[in-house]
Amino acid sequence: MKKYSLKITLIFITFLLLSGNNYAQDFKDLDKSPHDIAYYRANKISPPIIKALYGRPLKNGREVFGELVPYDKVWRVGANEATEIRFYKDVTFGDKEVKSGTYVLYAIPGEIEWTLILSSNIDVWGSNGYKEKYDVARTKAKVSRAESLEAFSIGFKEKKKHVNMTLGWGTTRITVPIIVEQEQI
Amino acid sequence: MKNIFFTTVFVFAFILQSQLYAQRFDQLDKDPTDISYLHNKKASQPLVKVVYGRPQKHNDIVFGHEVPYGEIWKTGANEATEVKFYHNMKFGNKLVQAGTYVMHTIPGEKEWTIILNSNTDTWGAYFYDESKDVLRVKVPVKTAKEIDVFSIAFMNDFKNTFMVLAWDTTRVNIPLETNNELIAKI
Repeated sequence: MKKYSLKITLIFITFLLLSGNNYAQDFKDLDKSPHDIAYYRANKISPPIIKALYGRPLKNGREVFGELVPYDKVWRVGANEATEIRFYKDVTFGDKEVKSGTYVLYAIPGEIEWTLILSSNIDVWGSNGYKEKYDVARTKAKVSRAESLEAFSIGFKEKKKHVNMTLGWGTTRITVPIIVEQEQI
Repeated sequence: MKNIFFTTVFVFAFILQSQLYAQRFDQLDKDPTDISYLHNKKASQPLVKVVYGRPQKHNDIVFGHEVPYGEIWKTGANEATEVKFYHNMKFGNKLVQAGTYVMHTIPGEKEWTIILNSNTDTWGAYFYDESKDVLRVKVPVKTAKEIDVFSIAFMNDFKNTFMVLAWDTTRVNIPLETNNELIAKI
């Protein structure tokens, strides 16, 4: 009987320890490559037209494209969770028509030209979740050069009839023209 | 003399022009954005996603001091905190439809008010519009080990799932009910 109650006590203590572990909450540290949000709006107070949610890795003295990020392989275009692009209106992305909605942006970097891919398989990690069958659009963009950028960046710049989405890291720049469909009146 | 003047004007014009054409990118945020997911173990699609800014503690006391009690707080930093529910579910014991909402809070010493609002893609809580409230729930405050960075995470105990808001020694555990029976009922 004594043995029995000892056993029960041991089980009870183990249980308590385990449940203590279950209840303790681990919170994530800050990411080394933090996320950021880039919006394109017609003006500061108007509703957004395009939103990019992406991870921002740092160069840290490394050669980026062709080394850290190899050419000719699908890249998650950032860090951590796959980069998410939301179009609030139908757009023409490069040379492809795309319906309003949320997509994951991937790229296949190259020395002279990149392929940019919009995928409908969202909420995935990095490029592990990339599956070609979910491709919505593929478009190509030429590489241009500018001053070196430490953190991977996505920015929008309004032009007369379209908006440019530019990806920048190191001295590499990739610019995709996006035409936003005007609402029918 | 004239020549120098023209050259100077020309150089300035050139500098200005190149600045106009150059793409300006944002610097890294001091309070970076982060993403937390609640996943159903069996399904690949997540149940809840939170995108929020993570400020760091600068003062000894955060709540009631750096973040005042009784006032709307953006519940993070920078862009308003966004919560996406992939299914209808219960959030703080109230039904909420699948969709994307902005989450604000009103911190208090003993309990917090959690607000889901449909005015999304806004900055901080400056654009808070009470008429766009979808729900308000009250959640009691708990205390735990101090943490320096504001965190939103999901936690399971034996029966329940919670969305936990955590900063300093403050914890606010918002109960979530995501079971299929409930989803079917809505």
